Amino acid sequence: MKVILVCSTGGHFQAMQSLHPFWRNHQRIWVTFYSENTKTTLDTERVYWAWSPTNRNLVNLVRNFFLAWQILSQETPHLVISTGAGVAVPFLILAKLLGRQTIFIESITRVKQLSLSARLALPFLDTLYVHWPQLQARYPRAKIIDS
Amino acid sequence: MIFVTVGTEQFPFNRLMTWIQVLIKRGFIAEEVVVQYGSSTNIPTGVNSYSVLPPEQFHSVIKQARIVIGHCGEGTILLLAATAKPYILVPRSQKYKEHIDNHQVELAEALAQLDVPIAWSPGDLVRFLALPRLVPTTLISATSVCQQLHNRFK
Repeated sequence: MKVILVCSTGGHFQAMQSLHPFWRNHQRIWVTFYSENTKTTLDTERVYWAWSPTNRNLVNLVRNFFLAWQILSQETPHLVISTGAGVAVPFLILAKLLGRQTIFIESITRVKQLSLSARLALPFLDTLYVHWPQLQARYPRAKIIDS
Repeated sequence: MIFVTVGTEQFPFNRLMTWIQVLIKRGFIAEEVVVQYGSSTNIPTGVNSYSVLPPEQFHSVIKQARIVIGHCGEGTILLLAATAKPYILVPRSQKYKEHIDNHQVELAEALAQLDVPIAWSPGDLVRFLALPRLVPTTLISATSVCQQLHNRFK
């Protein structure tokens, strides 16, 4: 199966790396921001660099929409999976509109309220995973990650 | 050695930097301190400070540290769960413009209920530094979500 792994740097990237036992079995393409850490870590992986910052940055949101369109039409993945944050939103929306599977794994740091990215992407998600029962109680559609 | 890390967040976390400075000045911290201050602008003096450590050096500092003081970010939490080092977490607050919203405070409240050492004040830091605690690492694991994904997409 072909998967696109989309996430920003820092903790979101760490979280995606911790999903290694899943993605190592699949053909995968990374979409993240260029940094010393991501460059070194993804040395042998296929990567597209997205535009940052995305926090309330309209220009980069538009640029990432175009990038998402380009990547999704060229690569035709089965699944787009994200651990956040903002950069994932255009990829998840377009992927769903193109009939692909979409998954968002909310950050473990979200206990009471979904992140803005998750709320924006929610209508376009096949599955939203959350870590805390408090959060799942608020969004019954979400699946809980039991440890 | 004490390692202080506040992630690679685009917001400063000057409040924690000031706490560290005060504890050093008042003699509550007498050992070596390494600080990864990220975007903070108020860096304590008398410490080894770095904006962002390269991954390898970061891991070697964690290994050498007696205890880690971190913010309540995902990367820090995943890392500490994996290293089994005593740690203290300090949440970034929206009120002081340390993050876009208050999710770190909400997380800290939930973790405090699970007996994770959370410092809400410099006094808490002093208390936890004197009595470092190991925290159960089973709290955070990607095994379950990987298994669920694997079952769906094998």
